[in-house]
Amino acid sequence: MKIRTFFTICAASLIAVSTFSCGKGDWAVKIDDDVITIDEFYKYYYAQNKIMLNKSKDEIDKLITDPALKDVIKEHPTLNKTNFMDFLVSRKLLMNKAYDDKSLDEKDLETVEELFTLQGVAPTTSSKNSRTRSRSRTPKSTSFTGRTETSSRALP
Amino acid sequence: MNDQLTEYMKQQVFMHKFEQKSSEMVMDLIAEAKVVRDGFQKYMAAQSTPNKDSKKGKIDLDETAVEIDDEKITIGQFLDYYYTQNKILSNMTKEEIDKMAADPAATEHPTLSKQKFMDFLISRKLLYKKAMDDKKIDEDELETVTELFRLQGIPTYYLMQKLKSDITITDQEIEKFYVENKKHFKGVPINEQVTMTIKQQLFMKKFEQKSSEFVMNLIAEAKVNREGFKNHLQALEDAAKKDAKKKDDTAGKDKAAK
Repeated sequence: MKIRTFFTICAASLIAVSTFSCGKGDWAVKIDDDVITIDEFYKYYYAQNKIMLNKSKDEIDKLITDPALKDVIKEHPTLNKTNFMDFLVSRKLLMNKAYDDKSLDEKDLETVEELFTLQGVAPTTSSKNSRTRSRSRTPKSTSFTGRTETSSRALP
Repeated sequence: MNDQLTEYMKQQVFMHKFEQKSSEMVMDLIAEAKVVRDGFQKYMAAQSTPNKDSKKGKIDLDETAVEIDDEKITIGQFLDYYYTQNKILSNMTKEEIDKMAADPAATEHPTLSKQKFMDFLISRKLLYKKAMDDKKIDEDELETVTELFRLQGIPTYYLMQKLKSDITITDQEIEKFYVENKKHFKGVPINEQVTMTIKQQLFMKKFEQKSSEFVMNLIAEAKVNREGFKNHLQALEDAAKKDAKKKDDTAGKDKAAK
């Protein structure tokens, strides 16, 4: 009986926390059993646009509220929040599907994951350091061609 | 020049400078690191020998291809990366990738050329290590970026594996494409390489269509509730309207006072 009371209180507390919690921790989208919170959405949103546009959070916010760019933003795949959320939802669904699919070779999937992790982290490092280096006037060195490929990021 | 154009030009110039600086940074990283690719060079030499068929059988996949500081990549691991990367980007089998890579035109290709792909892999491994060790980089942000790339890469790979067998390209379609785009082939007859290139282009077009359909069906089948997001966007819009009204009212009062 005591155990039942304990679990009832726990369950009630959980419901209360999820119902009355407010702000950016709120859920934005529920995809089957997955949840994307408003916070998570913005984390992805600003990171994606930072990679693509080299803009800070404030610059992105300024850009999307610029009346002159209203039509461009409306159609933009990553700056328009609804479009970007659509993209996130579809990717989450596909990702879950991929991990559940027993017909896919697990080792291949691991290699794909590793390849994309390598490609994702590297531009971030270059970008951060390039900004600093641009300011510090690093002397030019000889060219190293073909190392900045982005071709593999084509998405269907 | 309007704001939009200025913004676009700024972006273009930045990207150009970024590529230059990235190359310099990678050059510096390679110069600083201990990169030994003897195993890989040996493998490449064995591949290019005239009697390569007999040599191919002797390749030890566990042999080290490259040493990057303390990390070792074996020939087998390199080939896994190589074929997987090219499989993500095309519908080609291992044999077809080998055939395409044997074309002299592929020596400059960033992923089909094994030399170029090894350069790319080394640079990415070094940059990855650098990112992980760099205390100035926000760990959370790094994790988000990595997650974003995984979210883009794995679905693409998944769609390719799922849909490639549903897509067929007929000889008639290839011929039609060749005739319609003859000027782009600059007099090159419709040989095996041209056929493969056209097949690839037509495949990608059909793949994009099929992918969209697949995603649409997936969304229709899944339980997706966007109420929270809709409410959030509505709240943002309401706040912006309220803000604009407040500004208008203040401006009106100022005008009246004057």
